[in-house]
Amino acid sequence: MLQAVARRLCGRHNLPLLLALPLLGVAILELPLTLPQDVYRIQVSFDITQSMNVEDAGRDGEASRLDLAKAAAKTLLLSLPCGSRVGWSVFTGHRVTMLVTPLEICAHHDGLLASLAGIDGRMRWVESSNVGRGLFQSLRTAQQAGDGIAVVFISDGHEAPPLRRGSSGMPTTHSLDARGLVAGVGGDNPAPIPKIDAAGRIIGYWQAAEVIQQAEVPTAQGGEHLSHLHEAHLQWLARQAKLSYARLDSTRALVDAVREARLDVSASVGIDLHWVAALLALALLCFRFLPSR
Amino acid sequence: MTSIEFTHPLALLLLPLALLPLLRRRRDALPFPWLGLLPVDPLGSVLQRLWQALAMLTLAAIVLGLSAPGIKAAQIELIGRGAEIAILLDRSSSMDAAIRVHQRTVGESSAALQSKNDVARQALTWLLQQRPKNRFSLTLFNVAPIRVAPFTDDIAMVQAGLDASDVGRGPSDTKMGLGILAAIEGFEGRSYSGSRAILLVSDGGARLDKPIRERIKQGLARHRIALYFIYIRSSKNSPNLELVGTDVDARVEEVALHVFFAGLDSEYRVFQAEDPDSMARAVAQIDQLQNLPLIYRQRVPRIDYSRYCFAAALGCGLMLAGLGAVRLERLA
Repeated sequence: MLQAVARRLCGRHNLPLLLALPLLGVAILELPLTLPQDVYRIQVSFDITQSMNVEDAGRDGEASRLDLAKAAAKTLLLSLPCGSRVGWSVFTGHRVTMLVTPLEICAHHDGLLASLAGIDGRMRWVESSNVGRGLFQSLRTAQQAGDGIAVVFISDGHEAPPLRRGSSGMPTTHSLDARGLVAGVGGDNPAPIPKIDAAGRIIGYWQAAEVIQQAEVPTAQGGEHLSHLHEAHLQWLARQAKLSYARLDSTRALVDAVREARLDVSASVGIDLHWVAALLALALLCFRFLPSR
Repeated sequence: MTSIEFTHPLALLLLPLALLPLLRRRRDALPFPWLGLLPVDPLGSVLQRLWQALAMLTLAAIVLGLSAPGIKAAQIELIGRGAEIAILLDRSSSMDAAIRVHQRTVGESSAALQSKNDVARQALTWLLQQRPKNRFSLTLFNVAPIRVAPFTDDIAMVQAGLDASDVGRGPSDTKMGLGILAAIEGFEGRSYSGSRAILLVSDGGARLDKPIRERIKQGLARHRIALYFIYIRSSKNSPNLELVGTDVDARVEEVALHVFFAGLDSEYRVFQAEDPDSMARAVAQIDQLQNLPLIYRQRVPRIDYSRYCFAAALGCGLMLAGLGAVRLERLA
């Protein structure tokens, strides 16, 4: 009789049910399953020089370059998979100051956003802008902060004072194991650079005579008081440092560029797979209870 | 606050699958030519109903589990002990200069060296670890104040900011007044939830002009902020602020700053540090000082019930299998 019970129990009809039960067991236990997953370790370096205040960024050209850069970084933070780490740096003059080292983006989501929101021109410790050195320093500080950190350097490429002809303004990057992306932000037409007071209000615009012009050009004819995206310069710097280049014309563009540049690193991340087991169990049971044809 | 929410509400669309067991199935029927031949089997039909109910419950429980019901993550307010501490750390290049790890003893030619920033960072890291439930903010200053992290309960965030201050070099100039004002500003608009302090760590003084002095004075008083100044002495030649008494040599910047702070209406303490030990002692003393009640927020993680649903499904499934065996056995 026992045999009969066993035979019935393990019969063809009951097989899906019997298979579903251990699957449900797996769903309850939540075995620590780790799968290799693509995550990112990124240090975002923001150019906070004065030309970044020009309001000509984005498709409609109405956001300031720095605001668009920050919005793009926020989108990046929200789009990367959990387990990725992101940190912030700011650049002005020829130095980079690292604000936070890369932090896991899901656990520290609020803190990273609050820190990002605080980035503005008021942090500027000098008024000059040496983009090449800024990029070099960004790469070097990222390397100092840890292994495999990719740099996202967001700038308009505007050098102040202007570089001498033939000068790149960037130290050689041979010694650096550089990974990353240069993102250019700003419009193509030269626009006046606003002067901003301590409260963040625009109180006027820089005039030709107030800024250092190219040595060969008479001051009155110089264009250094106007600013546009120096895309060719940034592309050249990116090539020198073996980085990719992307134009930041929307808040979404940075995420796409980071994905395209393959800046991810593979890491074992615990993935909760209990729902897969439960779904399989559900499928088996549905099969079991299907009305027969 | 305790209402149930679903992480994957769309999964609930699968709920109709739970009706499957109600559909007629030939496979579970037994071949009899005429129903009238069968004896009335009340127990059998009860078992049939039970079997259907269990099967439906199993399916429904799995679907429910897949939708991941749970109680939302929330922040609860608790009362602990501690303070809101604004860390204001000098990030000028002089902080990269080294000081001795310990005071040189007789016969020792040279003592190990460590940068002032390292020493400060280690002591502050210790303070963060001592007070995981306190709220910190972090502002660096050199020529301009650099607001790294506004007040947060996320200690790791502040720690990442401290770690970052170790990387690279800062410019040489400092404008401490703007730094202090930025730290005070960090308290602006926050409801008073416990004692407040600014922890200023610097290796130098500053000569503050009158409007800035006035704003600092008013800001500290208005927001009821205590000021702790950890002064890192670079060498024996640096002024000893603890000895400053009546014969004030206010020409020295450090002394001028100290005298200004001491003359404020707000609580002020100075701590001198010349090596990691004295730095650790200074921070430990501050840790002792700020132990008043503090309202802090604690994150309560989301409570997920999907596992309970799957467990219920497993239980029903087991009974289903058992019932199947019993029923078939009776018929055998």
